[in-house]
Amino acid sequence: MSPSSCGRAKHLRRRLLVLALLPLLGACAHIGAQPWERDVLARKSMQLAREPAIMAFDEHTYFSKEAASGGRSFDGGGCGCN
Amino acid sequence: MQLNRSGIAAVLGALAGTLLGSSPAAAEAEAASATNAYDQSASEVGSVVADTALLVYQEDDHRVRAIESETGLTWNAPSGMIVSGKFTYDTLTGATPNGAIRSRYEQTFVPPRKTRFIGGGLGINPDTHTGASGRYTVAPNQLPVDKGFKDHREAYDLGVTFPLADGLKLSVGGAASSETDFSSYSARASLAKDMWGKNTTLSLGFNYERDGVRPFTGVPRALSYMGDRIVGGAKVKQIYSLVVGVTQVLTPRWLIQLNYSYGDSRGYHTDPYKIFTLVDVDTGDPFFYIYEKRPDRRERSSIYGATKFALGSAVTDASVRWYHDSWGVNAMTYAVSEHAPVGHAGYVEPGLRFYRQTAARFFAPYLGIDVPTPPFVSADSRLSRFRAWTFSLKAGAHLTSRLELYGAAERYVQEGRRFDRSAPGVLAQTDLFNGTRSTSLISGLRYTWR
Repeated sequence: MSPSSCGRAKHLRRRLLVLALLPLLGACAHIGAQPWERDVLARKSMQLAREPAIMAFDEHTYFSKEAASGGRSFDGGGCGCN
Repeated sequence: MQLNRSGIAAVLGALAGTLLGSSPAAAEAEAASATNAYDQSASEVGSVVADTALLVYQEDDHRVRAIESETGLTWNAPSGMIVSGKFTYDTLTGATPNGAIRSRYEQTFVPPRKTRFIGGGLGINPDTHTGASGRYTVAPNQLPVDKGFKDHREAYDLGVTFPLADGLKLSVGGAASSETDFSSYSARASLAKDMWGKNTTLSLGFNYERDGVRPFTGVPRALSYMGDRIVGGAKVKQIYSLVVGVTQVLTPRWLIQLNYSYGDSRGYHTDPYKIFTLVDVDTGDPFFYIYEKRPDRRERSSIYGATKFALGSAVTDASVRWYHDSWGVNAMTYAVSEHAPVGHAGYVEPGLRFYRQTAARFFAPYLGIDVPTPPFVSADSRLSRFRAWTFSLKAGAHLTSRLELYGAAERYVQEGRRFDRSAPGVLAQTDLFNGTRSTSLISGLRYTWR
């Protein structure tokens, strides 16, 4: 491939990328939910911290068996499993 | 062909509509047709919620068994204030790996001495609560575990959330936990601010934790020989943690969360019960045991991203976490689950979690006796390179409008490198990985007064 055709290919790729991102820009204009559209977000099944007891048990298990911790919240453990 | 194309276009259009939001009319129609209890609003304003749950955790090969109960009470005041308290009690029994490698010979382990070495007598003070402090013997080719391990823990947590101003909330709380040989106290404060029509929530949280360990055996001298005299009775570490997060509603049925967290832990991180094997470099047999040692500081950071997406009454939950710490551990965690409604009152939620981590810089399963002892060394499998899978099934059902029953069954499997063919002597055929496999069963009951 010659340098000029290589440059054309790059240019084409850039244009394709811009075209591919255009719908996303359109989507940005619609980001979020209006107050009358929040019924699904308000559902029990849509809450980020559902079943806190199960989550706490799981975090305790992972904290005592793995080196990594935290992320969802603070990384302390409060247990002697070190 | 034209029909097919229009059909595809219709499906794509419907999918795009789903992703980019639905019309108010569609939302209303959907609300009207919602028939599952978990499609109802999560708002608990003006209620008191009592939640109690029990975990039975059992590791394979008769290793650790934990039974943990948790009881919580939450008051959601009409003003928006939330007061919650939680009590956790757990018991631990079973056998825990002591850090030594398997051997073709019987191995005997002794605790550090609490008294002066006089004549030939070891000043062993076996603890009546745990065998962790007593002398014990491990049969040939068996993973060295301390079978007398048992303890219990009580933990308390209290939290209050105040609505300060429009969309701004302050949460403060504290926790305390106590085991026979360990205590922990922590205090936390966080702010959350709803913005742009509650579509964006920014949060900032700080936590301070102080842990004290008082080993049954006393604190052994790190890197000294097994059975050496203790150097103290108690040690402390302090942890400062910070979490910054943003939650963003993308569409009426799709939201994402992104957190950055940083933790700085300073003090005693060594496991006082863990030893380390120095081996004969010709035969590969254990030659000597020393107490492990870890650095006095550990900085952790992680980036956590999560998303929830609803399609009808089903909800897909996915998360990813990138983790790095100053001990050289890098870890990735991926989790996905699918909430599926069952009938009018129940749901099931199958889930899958994958985790993998690199080893800490100072981790080694053993070292040759001819190698100079490094400044830090540990054979704790938690600090080794491994990956882990969790297979889970959660379920719940509203027995009445106020009473809810829920539970989970989980299987956790760690996989690591078991054999090192380049290891000296018999070690080339010795299983060097002592990761965990466990089963957890959880059941819980929640009651709401309105």
